[in-house]
Amino acid sequence: MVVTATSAPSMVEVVSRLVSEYSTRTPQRLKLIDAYLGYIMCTGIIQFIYCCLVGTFPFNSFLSGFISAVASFVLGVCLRIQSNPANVAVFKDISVERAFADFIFAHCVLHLVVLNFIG
Amino acid sequence: DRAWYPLGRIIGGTIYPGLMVTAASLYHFLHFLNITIDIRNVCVFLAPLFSSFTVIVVYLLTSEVKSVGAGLVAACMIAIVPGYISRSVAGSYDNEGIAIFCMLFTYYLWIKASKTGSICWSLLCAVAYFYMVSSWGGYVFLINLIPLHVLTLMITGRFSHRTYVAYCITYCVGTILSMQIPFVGFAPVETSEHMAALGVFGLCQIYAFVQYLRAHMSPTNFNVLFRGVMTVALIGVGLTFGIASFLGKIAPWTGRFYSLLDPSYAKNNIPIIASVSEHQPTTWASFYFDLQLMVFMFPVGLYYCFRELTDSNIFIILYAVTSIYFAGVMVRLMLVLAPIMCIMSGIGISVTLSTYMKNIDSNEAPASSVPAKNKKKNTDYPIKSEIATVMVTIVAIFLTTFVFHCTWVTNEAYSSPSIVLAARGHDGNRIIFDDFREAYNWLKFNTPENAKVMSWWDYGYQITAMANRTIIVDNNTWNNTHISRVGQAMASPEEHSYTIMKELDVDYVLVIFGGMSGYSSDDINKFLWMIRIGGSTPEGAHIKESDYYSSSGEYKVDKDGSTAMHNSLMYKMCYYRFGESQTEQGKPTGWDRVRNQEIGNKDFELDVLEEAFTSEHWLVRIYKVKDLDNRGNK
Repeated sequence: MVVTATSAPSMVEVVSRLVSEYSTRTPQRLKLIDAYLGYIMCTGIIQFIYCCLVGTFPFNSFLSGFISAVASFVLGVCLRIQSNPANVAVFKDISVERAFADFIFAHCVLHLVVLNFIG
Repeated sequence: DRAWYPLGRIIGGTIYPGLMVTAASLYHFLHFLNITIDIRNVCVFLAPLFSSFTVIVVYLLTSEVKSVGAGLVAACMIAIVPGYISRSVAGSYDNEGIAIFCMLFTYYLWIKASKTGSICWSLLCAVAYFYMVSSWGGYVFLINLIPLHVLTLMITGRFSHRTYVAYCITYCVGTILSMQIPFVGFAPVETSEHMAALGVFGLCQIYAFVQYLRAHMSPTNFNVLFRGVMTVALIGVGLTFGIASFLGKIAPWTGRFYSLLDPSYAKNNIPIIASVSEHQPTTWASFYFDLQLMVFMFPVGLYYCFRELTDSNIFIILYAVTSIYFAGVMVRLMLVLAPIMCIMSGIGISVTLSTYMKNIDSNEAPASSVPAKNKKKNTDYPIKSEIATVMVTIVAIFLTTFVFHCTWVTNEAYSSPSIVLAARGHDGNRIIFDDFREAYNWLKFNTPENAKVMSWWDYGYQITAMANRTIIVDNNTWNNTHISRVGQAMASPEEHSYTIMKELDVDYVLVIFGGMSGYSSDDINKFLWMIRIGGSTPEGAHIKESDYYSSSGEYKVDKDGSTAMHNSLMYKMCYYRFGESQTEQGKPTGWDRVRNQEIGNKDFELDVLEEAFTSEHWLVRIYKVKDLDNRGNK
């Protein structure tokens, strides 16, 4: 009868373990999408900081740019979810190709609206 | 600038364009095919056309939620239900005609999106939402119901990747699309009515991220990370919302929607909103009148939805419960309730029928299988087939009475035009009151082009359209002070009204008077609201409602009425020369047929107005405002 008392791992250990598992486990395709998501997030943050510094004068321009960043991020996440092979059971009859096609179509509509709104 | 003189009105920024754009595109499309239908006919028949589309969408929606059978029943019911027909008759060219179609279409696409989790359906839902925003202010209901649905899914543990995809895309693309409508502007990010959607959006991101981490880590590790991040996040979010509300960046709920949550708010604070008869709470009689059988089948359908809970059923349940609450607050929202009632009743009837139809035995039961089945049949209740037949017959009778009721109601209550009135005379023949059109045509041909007409706001649109004259206030005016000024002019004594009318630059005044003909929604009956609205702003401080009641506290126009009432402009305009006319046999002259009283102040002259026109049955009376005295020696 062995009782092992393990102390709770520290935050640093947890995060480093998470990072190492991420880099080994996830397929190449998903890592590509994750890089794209990171880039979009940076764009959004830069826009937000700019707005905080300079003020919101053409509010519609700021909103359209910011929402464009947010929507692109969300679309990227949706694409990632739908192309993840672990999720095939959740998305019946949505193949990876169909997910990508939807993604492109959604971006067309999104950018059409953003162009109209940016003023 | 023909409306709301002298303020003018920016039509582009204060109206929902969906209805007009739809009518115009339909007109151009038909002309492109060389089917030359006049634009007026397109507008008149637009509402019935869109209600046929609504029937199709209700069928699609209910078959997604339950089954094809339920879809068929629901579609049949919405085709004839009076609650919906009342706002979609031919000729009612109003936002609600297409708004209900857009709303149900958006809901159908939302259910499709949350069922399949595909980006394509979510995008279509967002575009349908844009169409809904362009057509009616009631889109606020949608943008709060869909996040409520997502929140309920989160709480009940049904939040899946599909819901995440559906909601996030619908919200993001839908919001930026909705801001393209000038009337909506930046409201989706500034007003409290839209904050719930934003909050749920943020919550979605956090929840999905948490799910992702949980799937990739062991429980102990996850707990450590979770606790740390959670505390930071909660503090951050709480601070941001608190500061934003405090600094006034997030506007509080506007009056019209706030009165939905707190029904007594409008009554106490904003008389204009409280005075609209469509904003009154609904009576049980109206519920039964407009919905009949569905009042009883609705709980049945609700029960069956609860029995088989799926993601889409939860949405329908939420829609039903919220609609019932809002329909109880305001009669006008009965319209929003009618479709969901049909859907629920459709589900209820369909499940009832399919349960009992199975039990109706046909006469050729196979004899050989009887011995083997004997044991099983003993556990069922006896005379199964007979009870089933009785139940099916009862449901059939209910449905037949429903049809009779709907057609009767539509014929009686919703089929008459409101501009030409009809009544039965003493000897049974029909008398037509064409006074409105007579008066508006008189205005059109006998007054100068730039004449300004003052009337109560109910008649504003009619005067603009048929008499083609500038008006002071109309049905869409939300400028409380302006309407209040008109109310003060109507309620004050002649001298005071004259100053107000000169300030507003009024040339003619129009009142509706029902005392001669018995028409009960005339201006004297609406006078109390004019007093309330007039007294609600600082300039109207001299107008107190209690001054206009008799000494016993009743609203009277006979000799018991108060002096303020007898001297008000409205009283004088309505009853000028009425004291000499005989309206009914055996009653004294000046007998008001609506109030059933003999008027108190009979013989008076008008100082500041002169009578310009009175229509045939004295329904519409028009007065010209006299010019200022030439030598000013008053």
